[in-house]
Amino acid sequence: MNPTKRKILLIGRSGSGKTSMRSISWEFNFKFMDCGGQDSYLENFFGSQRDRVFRNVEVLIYVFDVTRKDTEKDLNYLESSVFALSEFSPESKIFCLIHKVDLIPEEERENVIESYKEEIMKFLSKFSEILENPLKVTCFGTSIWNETLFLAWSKIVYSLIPKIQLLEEHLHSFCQICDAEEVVLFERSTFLVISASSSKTYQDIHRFEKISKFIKHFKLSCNKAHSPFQSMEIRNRFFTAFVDSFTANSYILVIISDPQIENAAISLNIQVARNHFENLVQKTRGNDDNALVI
Amino acid sequence: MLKPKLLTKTLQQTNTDGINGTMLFNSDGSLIASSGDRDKNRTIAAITANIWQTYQKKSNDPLINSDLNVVMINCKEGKVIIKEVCKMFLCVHSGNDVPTGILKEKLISLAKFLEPSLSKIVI
Repeated sequence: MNPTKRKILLIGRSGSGKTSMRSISWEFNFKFMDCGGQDSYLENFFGSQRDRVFRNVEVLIYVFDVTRKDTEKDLNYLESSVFALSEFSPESKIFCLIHKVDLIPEEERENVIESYKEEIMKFLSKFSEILENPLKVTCFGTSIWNETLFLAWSKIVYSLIPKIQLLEEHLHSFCQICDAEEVVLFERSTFLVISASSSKTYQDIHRFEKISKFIKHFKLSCNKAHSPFQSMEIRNRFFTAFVDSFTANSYILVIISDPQIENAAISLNIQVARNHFENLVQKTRGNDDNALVI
Repeated sequence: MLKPKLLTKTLQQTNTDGINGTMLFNSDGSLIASSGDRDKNRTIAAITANIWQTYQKKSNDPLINSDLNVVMINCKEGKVIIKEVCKMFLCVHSGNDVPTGILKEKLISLAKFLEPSLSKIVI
């Protein structure tokens, strides 16, 4: 593996659920470093291996266990991470996942997450004066049992893609030209949402996760039958949905609700857009060989 | 890229004076856009795409050696006429009462109108 390849660092104390959440993002395009959570390991990371661990980090994901009451230790580790990052990878972004929120009763959940977030932000704000670069921190409440983790990971992927706004603009104009109701870009191996453009508002905000799950399962069964998934079309009286492989590392989903629009026209448009986006992605990538390319 | 709704509206403008349907389809006969009775168009597109290809093969014959320009078919129930535009096919069909010359002129002028835009689509 390329030694300068940038990595995603996953840190958290033992039992905080790091490894179980990895299942969602296995075979990612980045070098993934899952740091063992036992205290003795962690001491090592901040001690003798500090240089090796914290160099070339693009994103640090710190996993908090929401059910744990002794947050002091976690915050201390986070502090060490923040300082190590500012020394070795000053451009990196930090995501704090407040994990296992499913264990909190639903009516209290929101409050608990909020107060947790506040505590983390307050703690980190102390360093903003000492550190040269401003900290880029985002917090999420997550659980492996619902869509929150999917959402958080999608945000993380989103933050990793260079010049994402440009891509989004082009995706939006593609949506308009096609008269599509919704166009969604998925990361190829994980099927996380990279970007979406909709021309109307939907009731179900969790639809992307459901679609992603559904296609992932279908892809798996295709592989079992030794015929790799290429694309699919679903047409009923409400809509037509196209899923097609798009650029080198992405799939596209196009939803059309106007029955007058023919399938072949959409397939043609996807084909034409594919070339356009390939070029665009090459441009956004620039000279940065290590950037996450969709 | 194609604007499907706009394309359909453009095709609709040809449907006057006894013309029943106008459509654009690709070489495998699947519709890209059409105006008129959709199910009928779909069937006609599939059949005519096949007919075109059969004649196209024949036109490669060294004895004939001439590119296929327009195919006109007179049926018991009506007339169909097809032309190739930028690797896609434009087709107009009507009842028997429409003169073939008019049908051909309409098709050619529509093809001329669409060609500059369609030629920009590079696959």
